[in-house]
Amino acid sequence: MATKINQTIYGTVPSTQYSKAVCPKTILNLYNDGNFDPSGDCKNGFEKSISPWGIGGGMCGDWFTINAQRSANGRFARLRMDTTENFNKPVSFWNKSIVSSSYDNKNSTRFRVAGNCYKLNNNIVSNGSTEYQLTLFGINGSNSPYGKLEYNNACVYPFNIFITRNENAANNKLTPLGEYTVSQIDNFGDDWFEDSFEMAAFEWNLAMYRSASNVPNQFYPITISTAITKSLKMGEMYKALALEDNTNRDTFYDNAIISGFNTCGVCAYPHYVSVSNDDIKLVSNKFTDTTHYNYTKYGAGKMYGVGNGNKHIFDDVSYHYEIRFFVELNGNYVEINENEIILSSQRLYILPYYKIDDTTYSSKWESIKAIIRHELAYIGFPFVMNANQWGFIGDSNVSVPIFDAHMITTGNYVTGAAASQLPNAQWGDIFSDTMPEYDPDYNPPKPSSGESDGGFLNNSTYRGVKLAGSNEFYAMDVSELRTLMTFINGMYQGNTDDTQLKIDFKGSNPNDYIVGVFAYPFNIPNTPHLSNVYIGPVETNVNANVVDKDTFGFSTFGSILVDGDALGFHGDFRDYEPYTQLELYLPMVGTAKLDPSYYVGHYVTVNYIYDINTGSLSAQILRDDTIDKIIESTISVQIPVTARDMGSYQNNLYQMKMNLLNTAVHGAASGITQTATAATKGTDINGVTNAAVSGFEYGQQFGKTIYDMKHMQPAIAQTSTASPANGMQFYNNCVLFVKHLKMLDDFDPEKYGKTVGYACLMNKQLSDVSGFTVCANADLSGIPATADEINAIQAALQSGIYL
Amino acid sequence: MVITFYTSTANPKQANKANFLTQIGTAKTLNPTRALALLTPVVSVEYNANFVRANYCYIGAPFNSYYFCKCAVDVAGKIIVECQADPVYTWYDYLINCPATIIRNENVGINYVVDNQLPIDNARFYIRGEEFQQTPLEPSENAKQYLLILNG
Repeated sequence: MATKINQTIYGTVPSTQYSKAVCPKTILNLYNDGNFDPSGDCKNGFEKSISPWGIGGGMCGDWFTINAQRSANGRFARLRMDTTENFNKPVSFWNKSIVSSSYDNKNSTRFRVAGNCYKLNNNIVSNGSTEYQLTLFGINGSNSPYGKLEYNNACVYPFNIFITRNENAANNKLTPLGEYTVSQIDNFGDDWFEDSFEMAAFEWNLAMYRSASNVPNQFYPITISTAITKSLKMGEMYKALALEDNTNRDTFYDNAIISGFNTCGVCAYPHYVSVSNDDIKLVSNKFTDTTHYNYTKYGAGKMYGVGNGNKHIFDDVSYHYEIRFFVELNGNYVEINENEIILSSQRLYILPYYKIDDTTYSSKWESIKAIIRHELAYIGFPFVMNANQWGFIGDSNVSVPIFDAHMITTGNYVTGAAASQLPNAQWGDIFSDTMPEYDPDYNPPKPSSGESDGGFLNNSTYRGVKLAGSNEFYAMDVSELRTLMTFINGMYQGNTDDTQLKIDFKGSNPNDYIVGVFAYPFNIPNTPHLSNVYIGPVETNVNANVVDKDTFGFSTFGSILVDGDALGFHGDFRDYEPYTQLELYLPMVGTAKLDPSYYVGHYVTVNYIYDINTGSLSAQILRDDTIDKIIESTISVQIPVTARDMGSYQNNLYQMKMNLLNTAVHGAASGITQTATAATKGTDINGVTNAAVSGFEYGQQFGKTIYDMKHMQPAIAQTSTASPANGMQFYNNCVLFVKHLKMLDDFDPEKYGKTVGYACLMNKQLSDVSGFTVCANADLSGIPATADEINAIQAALQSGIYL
Repeated sequence: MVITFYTSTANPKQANKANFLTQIGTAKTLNPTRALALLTPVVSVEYNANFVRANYCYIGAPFNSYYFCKCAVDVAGKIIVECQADPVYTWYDYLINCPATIIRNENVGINYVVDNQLPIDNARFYIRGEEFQQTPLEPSENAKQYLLILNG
C-alpha cells in the first residue's frame, strides 16, 4: 500500500531581488512505493516515483530527483536535488540545504528552491555552479483549469505520471510507473487520451527546448511545437505526436507500418532512474531536418504500431500502446526490441499518443494549443509558440506566466515586451539556504544579508515605487558604447546637405538626447530585453539591454567578527580606544571610523543599496543586527561624452545659406550687399556680420562663403564633464582595518597589572577584589580608628595596596 | 606596654601581613621620657640583639596597633624603636568589609576605562586588515557596466 508523504515546496526570493517577488507555493505529494526501506537507502524507490520532471526534463536542463531517506525514527531526514545542466553530471546541492534536524520530527520536509525556471539577467548557469534554476509548480487547487488539480494532488502532475513502461511483453500492456499514476490521471483530466496528449505535447516540448544548441547565456523557453498530424482510425481520429503536420498518413493498425512523417520521443533507461530530457531520443521515420533536432535525432527505418492482436491498436482503450521502430544509430539500423531492453536493464518509455476529433481538427488543435499554453502558464513556464523560436523574456514571441498576488500561477500569461514587467521576470537565481518555519499563510521571510543579519532595519524593502520620467535606460558594455558614440559622431559628418539633419533633429543637437553615461563598478542589472537605441528619432542600429526604471540594488559584502588574534586583538582593555582604532574602508565611499567599544566582540556587516538610475548609494554599516551608520555616496561615475555639436553645425550651415541667398539677391539688384563672414573653421559660427561691400567685394565674399561652407566643421561639444573616477581605481572590497598602538617593547601585561593595576571603575567591597588595588575613595565608616588613622588608610588605598 | 617584634617580608603596601610576619620576640617598653604619639611612637626596650633587625612590631594596649619600625641602639645600651603606624593592617578586618570605588586592580580591568598609565609607544602602531567575504563590485569581462540614459 502506498504511503502518501507530503512535501511542501516553497519558492524563494533571491536575495538580490527578494523584495520584488516570491515564488509559488506548491505541495508535492510523494508516495512510497511499498518497497520502502526505512533503514536504508530508498533512493531507487523514490527516484522513480518522484522525479517531478519525468520524461522531458526540466527548464534550463535542470531536473531534480528527490531522494528521500529516512532517519532512524522513520521520518524524512534528507532530500537531495540533482541537476543536470549539461546532462549526465548530476550535482548534488540539496544536501547542505535541506538537511535540518529541526525538521526530523515532522513528516514533511520542506525546502526552498530558487526562483522560477529561468534565469534572467545573463545566463543559464554552467554546470558545477551553486546556482540553479528550477521551476516548481504554481498549480494550486482551484486554479486548475479542470478544477481537479487538488491541493494534495497537484504537484506531481504533469511530469511523471505519464511515463510508461512496457511491463508485460505478452499483451504489450504499458503500465505507468509509480504508485500514484492512476489516481493522478484521474485527478488530472477527464480523458486519458486528452491527458496523454497534453502530457505528451508538454514533454515533447520540453525535450525540444533542450534539444536546441546550448548557447551560453541564452534562454530557451519551452516551445509549443507539437503539431497534430494525421488521422489514424476509421471514424475516430488519433494523432501521433509529430513535429510536422503531414496529411498523408496511414491508418494506424497493429503491426501496420506507419508512413508519412512520424516522430515520437523515446527513452531507453533503467526503470529506476529518472530520465532527463537528454535521455529523450526523437525517433522519426523521416528525419530530414537536422537543424533543430540533431541533438536527439534517431532515424527510424520503420515505425509500426503494436496493438492487441490484429485489432486496431486504439480499439481497446484499456491498453496503452506503443510504436515500435527501428532505430538508426550511427548509420546502422539497430532494432530495439523489448527483450534486449529488458536484458540490459532498460525500459522503453514512449511518449503516448492522443486522440482528437478529425472533423474538428483545426479548431481542436488550436484549442489544444491554447490549453497547453494555459497549462504552461499554470506551471509557471515561459514559452514560445513555435518550434523554431527562442528568445528572451520581453521578446515578442515569448510568453511569461502571470502570478497572482500570492504568487500562485493563474494560467494567464503575457506575451512580448510587457512580459518583462512581470515580477517573475525579475526573479533571479540565488539559492537560499534559509529554512523558515512553516507558515501556512506563506509569509516569506526576509533573506539574510549577512551572517549576523537579523532581518530588521538592515533590509531594504521594495515599496513598489516605480520611477517616473521619460528617460530610457540602457546597460551597455564598452564595445556597445563605443559603437554608439562612433555612430553619433559619424552620422552627419562631412555631409553638407543638412536636409536630413534638419528633418531628424529640427535644430537641436543630437547629443542633447544623451542625458548621461555612467560607469558602474559592477554589471548593471538589466533585463534581457534588447532594444535598438534611438538618438532622438534616429535609429542607431545599436542594440542594448533595457534597464528597469526601478532598479534598486542590494548587495552585501558579508560580515566580519571584530575580534580575535588575526586582527591583533588582545582580549583586554587595549582592544579599545585609545589603544585600538577601527576603520572601515568602503569602496566608492571612503573610510568610516568605527567605535571599538561598540564593535569589538560583534559582527560588522556592510551592505550597499544603490539606485542604478541615479547612481546614489547608501552604505549600511551594521553592528550585528543593528544599523550603526548609513553613509550616502555615489556608486557611479559620470563619464564624459564628447561629440560633435551637430545642432550648431546645422544652424550655422543654414544661416550661411540664408546669408548667401540674401547676398545674391542684393548683389544682383544694387551691387551693394550684405554678406556673412561668420564661418570659422573648426569652431562655432560667431555670428553674422553685416557689412556693405562693393560688387567686387561681393564676389570675393560670395566665394569665401562657399569655401567656408565646404570647410566648416561642427564644433566639439562636451555634453558633460568628467567627474572624479578615483573611486573606481581603489580596491573594490570592503576592508576592516584595525589599528593598534604598540606597547613599549618590554611591556609585560602581567607585571603591569601587578604593579600598576588595570584600569577599572567599580564599586565593590574590598573583600571582593584581590591583588594590587587602587581606590579612588572608600567608605571607612565603622572603623573605630582615629581620624589620623582613617586618613592614613585612605591615603594608602589611594596610592594602592595589595589585598 | 608590651611590644612584639617581627621580621616582615611583606610589601609595605600589603594590607594583610599575617602570612609575611615572623615573630622575633616580645619586650616591655621602658618608661617613656616624653609623650607617645599613636601613629608615630618612639619607645625603648632593654637591649636584645635579636630585636635590632626587627622591621615590624605590634604595640599592645593601650595602642593595640601594628607598626613599621626601625631599631637603633643608644649609648646606654637600650634599643630605641621608632614606629610608623600601619593602620591598614591594624584595621584590616574592618577594612575589607568597607565599600570602595576601585579604579585600578591587578586582576580586574574594565576595558573601556582609559588607562593613561599604560606604557604606550605613541610613536609606533601596527595595522591589521581583513577583507570582507565578497564584493559585489566586481564587473566581469565585457560587463554591461555603462548606463546610458537617453532622453526619450
